[in-house]
Amino acid sequence: MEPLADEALVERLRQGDEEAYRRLVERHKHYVYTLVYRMVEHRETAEDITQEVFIKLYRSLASFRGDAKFTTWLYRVTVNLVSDYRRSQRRKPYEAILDKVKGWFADRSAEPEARALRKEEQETMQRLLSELPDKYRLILYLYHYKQLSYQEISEVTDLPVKTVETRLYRGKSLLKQKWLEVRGHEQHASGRTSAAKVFK
Amino acid sequence: MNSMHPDERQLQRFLNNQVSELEWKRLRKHLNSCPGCFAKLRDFLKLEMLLDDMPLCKAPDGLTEQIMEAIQSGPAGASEGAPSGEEQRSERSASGLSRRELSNGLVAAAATWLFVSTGLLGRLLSFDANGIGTGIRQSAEQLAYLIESVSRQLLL
Repeated sequence: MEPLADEALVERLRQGDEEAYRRLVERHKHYVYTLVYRMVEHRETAEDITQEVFIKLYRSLASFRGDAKFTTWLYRVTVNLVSDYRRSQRRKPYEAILDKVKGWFADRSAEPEARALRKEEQETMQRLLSELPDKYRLILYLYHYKQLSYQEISEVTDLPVKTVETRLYRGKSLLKQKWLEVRGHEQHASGRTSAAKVFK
Repeated sequence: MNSMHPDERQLQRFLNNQVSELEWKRLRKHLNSCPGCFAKLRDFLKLEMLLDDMPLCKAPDGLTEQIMEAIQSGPAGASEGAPSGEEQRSERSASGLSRRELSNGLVAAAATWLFVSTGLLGRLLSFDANGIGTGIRQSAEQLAYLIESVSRQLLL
């Protein structure tokens, strides 16, 4: 049986079927959580914001007229709440740094097996991504995690399509530059190690 | 020929299949014969693949339940959005402001009560110059004591 489309679940919810919303949350929570986590880099904050996204979405159901896709609406709420949080953190740099450091420690203790399994390249990529300015990072995540089109990203972020394309291009160019620098250093270092082993 | 070398933007558009058919053919021909541009394209391709393969994080266990509970315990059918963290922080600061306003109001009420109860108001109305001088001094001392006491209580 075909799973019900998001919009059909919203319709069921409007008719009083609360379980329909549970299915929507189950369907989208991992992506929303990932997007938020990648932007705020702190697990507890990401959990709080994800929760806030779905609560806000539920309470604003009356304003959803179905002329846009449910996911566009969902990602817009997510992006707005992440932006609110990022703005509030820019006003409190020390707390933000403290949160980030706590997040790193929590990550290391929370998922040792999963972390061990991650590919080295993915870790490097995530690190480089986290160093990118927000405006590029967000577009890259929206584009690559869910393969959203420029038009969809434009609707989610309220940015012109041309700006979306430019940010995507600049973000990738920056990322590629950093990637080549890091890989170059690593290869250089491993080359030196190999040479040292040969000469021992 | 240098003018034939595509820039990075064109390479990205090529990879994302966002160029015209004519442009695509031109770029493909160039890339087949230019190792430098081909290497750049390979770097972008690697990047694209890594970005596409970024793993999703697993949302914490129990998150759905927390959300459903919060929804059920919140105002039913509310059409307004839930307050964001910023809004909650604003609400908190707004309640702090109310507290200050409340303390100011209490102090003003106490002063008014003292003004009336010590007979100062009556003396002002009857304009007894000697009495007013003594009354003001005594009232001011009592008022200062009262304000200090009320403020201490509110700050505790």
